[in-house]
Amino acid sequence: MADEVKKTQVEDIDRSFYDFRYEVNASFQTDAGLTPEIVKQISEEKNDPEWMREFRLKSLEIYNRTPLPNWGPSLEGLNMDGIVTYVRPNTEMQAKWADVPDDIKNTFERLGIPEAERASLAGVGAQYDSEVVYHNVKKEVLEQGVVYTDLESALKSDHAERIKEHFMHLVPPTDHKFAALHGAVWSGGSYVYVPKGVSVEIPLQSYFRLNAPGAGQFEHTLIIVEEGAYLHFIEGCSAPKYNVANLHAGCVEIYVGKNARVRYSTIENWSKNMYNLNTKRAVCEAGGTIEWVSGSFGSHTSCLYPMSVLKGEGARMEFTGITFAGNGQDLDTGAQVIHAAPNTSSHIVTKSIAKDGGVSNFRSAVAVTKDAKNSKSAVSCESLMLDERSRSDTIPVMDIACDRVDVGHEAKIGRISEEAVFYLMSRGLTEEDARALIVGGFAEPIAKELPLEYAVEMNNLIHLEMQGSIG
Amino acid sequence: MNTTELLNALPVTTWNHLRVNGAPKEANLPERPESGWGETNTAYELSDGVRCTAVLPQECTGEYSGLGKEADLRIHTEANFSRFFLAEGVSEGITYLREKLDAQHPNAVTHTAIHAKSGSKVTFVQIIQSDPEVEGLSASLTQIAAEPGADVTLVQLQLLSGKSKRYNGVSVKVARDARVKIVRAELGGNIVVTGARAMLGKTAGAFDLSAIYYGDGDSILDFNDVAVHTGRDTHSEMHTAGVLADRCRKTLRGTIDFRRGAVHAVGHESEDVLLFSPEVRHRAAPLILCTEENVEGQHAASAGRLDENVLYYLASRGLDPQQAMRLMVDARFAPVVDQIPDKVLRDLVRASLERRLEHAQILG
Repeated sequence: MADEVKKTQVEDIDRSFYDFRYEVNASFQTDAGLTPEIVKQISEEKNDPEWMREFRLKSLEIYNRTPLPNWGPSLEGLNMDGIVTYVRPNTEMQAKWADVPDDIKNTFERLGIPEAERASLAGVGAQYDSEVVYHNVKKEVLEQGVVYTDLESALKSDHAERIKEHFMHLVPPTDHKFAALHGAVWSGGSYVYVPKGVSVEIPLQSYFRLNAPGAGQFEHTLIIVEEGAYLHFIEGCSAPKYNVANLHAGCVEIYVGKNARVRYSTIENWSKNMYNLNTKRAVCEAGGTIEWVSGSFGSHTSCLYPMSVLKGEGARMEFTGITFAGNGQDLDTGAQVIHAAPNTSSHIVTKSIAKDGGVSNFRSAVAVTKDAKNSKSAVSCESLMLDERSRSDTIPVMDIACDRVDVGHEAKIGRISEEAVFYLMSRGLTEEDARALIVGGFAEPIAKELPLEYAVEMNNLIHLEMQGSIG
Repeated sequence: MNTTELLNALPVTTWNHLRVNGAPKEANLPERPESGWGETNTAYELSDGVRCTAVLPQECTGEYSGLGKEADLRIHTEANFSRFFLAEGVSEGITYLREKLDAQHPNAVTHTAIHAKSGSKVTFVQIIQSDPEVEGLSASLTQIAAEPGADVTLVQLQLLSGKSKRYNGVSVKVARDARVKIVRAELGGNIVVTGARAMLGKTAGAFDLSAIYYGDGDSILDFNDVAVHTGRDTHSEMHTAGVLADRCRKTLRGTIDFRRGAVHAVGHESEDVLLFSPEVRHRAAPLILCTEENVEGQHAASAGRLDENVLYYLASRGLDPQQAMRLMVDARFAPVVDQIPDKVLRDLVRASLERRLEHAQILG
């Protein structure tokens, strides 16, 4: 209608692609809640070595005495007594998709994982609920001495001692309540070891799917990349939507050796009943580089701030992230970096979009220690508000204990420029197309950092349909 | 009275370990001695168009300063000197508010209210000084209400000794088409806790804050400046430049808060810090909070040493490092110092900076 003034609409992410489910067909699952008995049960089920069993129980103690964070999004809707912390799918881990049970295989087929593996990946791990159901890596990568397997198998291999030396050393259970929870009930996840000087030219990918309602997923990803090596690791995650809260409290620990480089890309697309309280951390030795590429689209509530510890001289960190929060979502994302050695550098670039009552917050911390002389840090965050019902906060902090530094921060918040829309329309675009182009352009610097197949997925995720007139 | 809330609380909290959610405990407002705060050495000179009122104008109340509600209440109730001003018409003169801490008057807990009537234009200058050896306390609450079209400038010059404590809360209410400008120089004190909070609730109200600070020795500097936009076409500019030397610990929180209804609001905020010592601690939390779609907000922050290329260039022009440093600090502070509407006071501030810089070491 000509006289009807409509506000610009940006459609929610089309979730139907991810929102399918199968009956839970678990071979074993714990009761809901968190007790020492349940933790022992998980430990027995997984046939943990003794040190891990003790580690779990100690973590539970820490969990019980650690308060919930007094900052960040509300976690009121999360009732740990209702969360099932371990659901073992009805299959062993397979190395061929043909051997994976149909319901699980169909899940990953619909998500396009086997196809991506064939087309562009060096190895794939697929986790369904609490355990990895498929793991495979190309022969030529194995021949380079690369290890890529599930963490449970790795714990029983000749890497056991190395895992013991690294597991939850970067993210100790004392770090926060959900790190302690992870230490107590972790299951699944991947172990990657890249030997000195080896460059894994094609990415490895782990995909995490949570199918069971009211369950938690607590996978642990441990990546060790030795001196001069290179790895690109991709992580994807999704779940169908249920009426009960699900919880994801995974943990990623990355050890970047001297002059090594790791790129860690994530597209997070959990369903909107998910509490995504994930912890990711990397430590870089001298000359090492960690690059985070992060897209946060799903979840009911997210707290996700990958931390990089630049421990060695000349270490470098880059973080590129986009967060899109729609109706009912409270996504609190960002990055943290600690410059702990001279000549280190960090660069954080983020984009946030909030619409339809969604909350999209950017939170960051840049800390420079006394020893980090001649370090440089630049932070840039931009937020786009698509209506007046949404919220977008920018909460950056700098903590500098060294004078020989160059630290900069800039942030912008705004709306779609009417001048830009006007200009594009004067060049022949419809208003809808003009607005779509501007929003697409806003997200573009992040999209181009993603691997191709994930950039395509992101474009699917941000299904931006614009309509309306200047209102 | 014991206060339970954090002083200078960050409007939205973040990681506790970063210690920016509020002023550190050692910077808490001291308890009132049993014998009370004693008498103050305080004076004021009124300009034309400004008169004193016996009663706190209601227009000035209802909002709180960046220090927080409890601290405001304490200063209000414990004040050993209160003065309330009413401004009408356009005044070219300056109203001076002088406060000096000395051995006989070491504590000044002052409550000031400025009610600027519609269309008025007025300038207030607060000068806070102390004798060099006095270990005193200056705690002040200034409540400003600018009625429609009013234009209020408040200049705060704090030149306390390095042994005194300073608490400075300013609350600002800005009506339609009104403007409140604060020019703030916090150049002394071993504990400085300062918070200005402006409520821009009406159309086209504006708030400007131009601030400088200098921290050295073992001092603690803690700032919390907030501009809350709820009115259409409101505008805030908050810009701070600072120098940190020795073992000074400084935290600056600057928040632009765009709330629903603040259509076409604009807010800019910046901090530029020079670090003169490897032992300083510089913390900054520049926040933008936003629940309104149609706004423009921006903040920028930078921290570092003097650019060595600039120093090298200045040396090549015949300046020694100390002279070059003074030149660079002058350049950073000049936009604020130049806004002090009195040459005597400008010279006073420059002399104070000069003295401080003599002790600073810039080249490690």
